[in-house]
Amino acid sequence: MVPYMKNLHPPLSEQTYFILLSLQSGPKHGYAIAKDVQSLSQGRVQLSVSTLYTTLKRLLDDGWIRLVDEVPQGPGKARKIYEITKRGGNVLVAEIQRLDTLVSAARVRGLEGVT
Amino acid sequence: MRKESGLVWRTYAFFLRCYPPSFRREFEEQMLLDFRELAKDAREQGRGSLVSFYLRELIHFPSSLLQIYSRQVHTLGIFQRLPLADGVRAAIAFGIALALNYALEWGIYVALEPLAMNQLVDAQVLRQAILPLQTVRSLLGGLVLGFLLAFFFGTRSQVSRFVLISMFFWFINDVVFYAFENHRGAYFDDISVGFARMFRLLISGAYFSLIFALLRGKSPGLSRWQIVGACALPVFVYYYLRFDWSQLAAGLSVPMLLLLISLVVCCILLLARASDAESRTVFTVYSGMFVYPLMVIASGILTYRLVFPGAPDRIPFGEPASSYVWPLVVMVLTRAASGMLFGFWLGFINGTGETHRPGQVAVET
Repeated sequence: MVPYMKNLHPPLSEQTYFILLSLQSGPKHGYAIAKDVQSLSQGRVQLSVSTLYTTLKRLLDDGWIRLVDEVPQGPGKARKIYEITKRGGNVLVAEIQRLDTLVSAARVRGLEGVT
Repeated sequence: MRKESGLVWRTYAFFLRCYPPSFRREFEEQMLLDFRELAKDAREQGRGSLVSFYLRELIHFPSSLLQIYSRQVHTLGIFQRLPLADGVRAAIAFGIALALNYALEWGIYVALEPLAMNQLVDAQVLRQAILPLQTVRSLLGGLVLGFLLAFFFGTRSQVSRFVLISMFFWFINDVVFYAFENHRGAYFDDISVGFARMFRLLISGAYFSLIFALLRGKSPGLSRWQIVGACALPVFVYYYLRFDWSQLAAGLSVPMLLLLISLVVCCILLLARASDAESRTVFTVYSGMFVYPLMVIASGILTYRLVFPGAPDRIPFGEPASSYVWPLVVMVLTRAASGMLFGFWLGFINGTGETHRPGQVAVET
């Protein structure tokens, strides 16, 4: 095994991919992430609240995102803001490269833009 | 807030109590805030959107709970370590498959009981009746093992490969098994029963290890014909033992048996090499060959000498099998125990050669 390539992850689920992609453009709270994911996926991926926070919990545990701030939101309430970490960014880049390889293979066969 | 949405919100808040306390401390407030905001957005888009939003929450909630709780179990530590996790998975697969296989064998004996108890029925007729059923049992054993291993170790596209390899080698294993067990009365008169049984266990261990090692391996290194030859030789050995063994001079029977066993073992190792030279495939097969008899003997001693002293360790064909219900439970549990111990060994040993699971991607840190 190559020493610097010691962190391994399976292909990302669509939700994880879009959440990381959303955070790549800047720190966000849960609601903003959910709306951004819906927009990025052109309405195809609509995160439920439970799915969103289950995924965020996993990403936090894996060190792919981190909590950066808490913005007050009414009396005694605060919105937690998350941002992507360097490790999360690397995972996202690796996933984009993997997807790109898949698309390239289709291009080689002349299947680009097939609808 | 509307009255009905307030009710839904309170219901949602109530459901959130199902999450573990640590998860609730971290996310409950955020989830309630987001639920309210997203419900408000959905309501603005119309009643259909709102119903769709509620349905989505309802459908995703159980799977989310399951993921959070399974993650909590995983963070206990033991399952995060790959060899141990592989060991536990293989233990479950082999334990279930071997126990089921033995229960099916009992079922066959019960089905054939009237025939076996009838003194007028010729042994040859009985053998012809039992062989097709044993073949089905053998294939079923492989099918179950294949599905379980595919579930634990494979991907969805690998299921057919797992099932076919498991069925095929389980069947080959049973063919060799019959050479030693079912016909020993006719062909192994000059060899002690224990001697033949030991060889049978050794070869079974090698075949079961081979199933696991071939499935976990990656790059076949042998040609198709070499693999076909290595698979066909044990079948040839079986038919030789069955039909020509009695023609052999008495003094030659033991050396010939040893030679045939060596050939079969060579075939198994040849197939193991076909799997993947870089992983621990060959070592898995070598060790499995010797660990399987040890585990079977150890669990047998524990069950029949310590836990249930004097209980029969097998159902003798020709005796009423239906009267063996209680010993059957003991026998099935013993097989399950030896299968689990053996499976754990295989998974652990093979897992120590693994660096990551199939489909995982390396990420620069």
